[in-house]
Amino acid sequence: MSLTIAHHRFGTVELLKLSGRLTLGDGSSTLRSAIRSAVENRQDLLVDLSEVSYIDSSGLGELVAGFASVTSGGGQMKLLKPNKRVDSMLQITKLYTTFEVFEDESAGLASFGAPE
Amino acid sequence: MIAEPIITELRLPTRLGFEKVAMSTAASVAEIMGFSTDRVEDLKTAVSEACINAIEHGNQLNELLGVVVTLSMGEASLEVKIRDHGNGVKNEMHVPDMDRKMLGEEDPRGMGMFLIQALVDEVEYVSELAGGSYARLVIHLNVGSRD
Repeated sequence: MSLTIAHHRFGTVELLKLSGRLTLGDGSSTLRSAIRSAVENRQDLLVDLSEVSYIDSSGLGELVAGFASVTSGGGQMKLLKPNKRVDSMLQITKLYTTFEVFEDESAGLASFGAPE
Repeated sequence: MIAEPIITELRLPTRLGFEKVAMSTAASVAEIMGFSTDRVEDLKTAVSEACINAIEHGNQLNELLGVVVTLSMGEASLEVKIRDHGNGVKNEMHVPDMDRKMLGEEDPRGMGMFLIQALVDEVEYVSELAGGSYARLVIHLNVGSRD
């Protein structure tokens, strides 16, 4: 299943709910476009990974590139609810310690100072 | 008791997406051998990353070339060789610098070999004198999952 992204806006924060495979070809370009759009609109990003069924090194790389892109534009990008498999990949690559990761959507949104 | 390894061999086209064929075959063999679900998932990811490396870097997306995946099912281990027509890679592992990546100072990709190393019990990269090279991945039964 290729990646689909649902967009929800909460003030200055855009919540991206990812669903499907975040891999080379399947999802990385879709996510790149969504992040580029958010950067252009000066939105902070909260990326919900709970429905990501599979992630590979390209998908991880796209999260990293997105973070660099958002922060260089003065915004913030944080992650929400990685499932067990995605969490494992974030742990192995030590991205868990560099990304801010939330288990609760409200807490994640509140961390930006955005209205819930 | 298995006296000789049982061999399964695949020939993949050099086209991104076909790594999934190797993933699912490796998963099927590992399940037959009794590996846990977590170990099977680890193997699938490692095989996928190795096949993508073979397609992109080894064969440089040349569709005239193939990638051969050989799964050898032993008594207590599963060996997967992913062979391409490239010159191979050095065995020294490049450890990605996540801080530099997050700052955009290092290519955000380039984590595949690092992931492979973390997900299987043994890995080596071999350049063959006759040309071509292969990645050799091994997982052992009775070795606990990372978690």
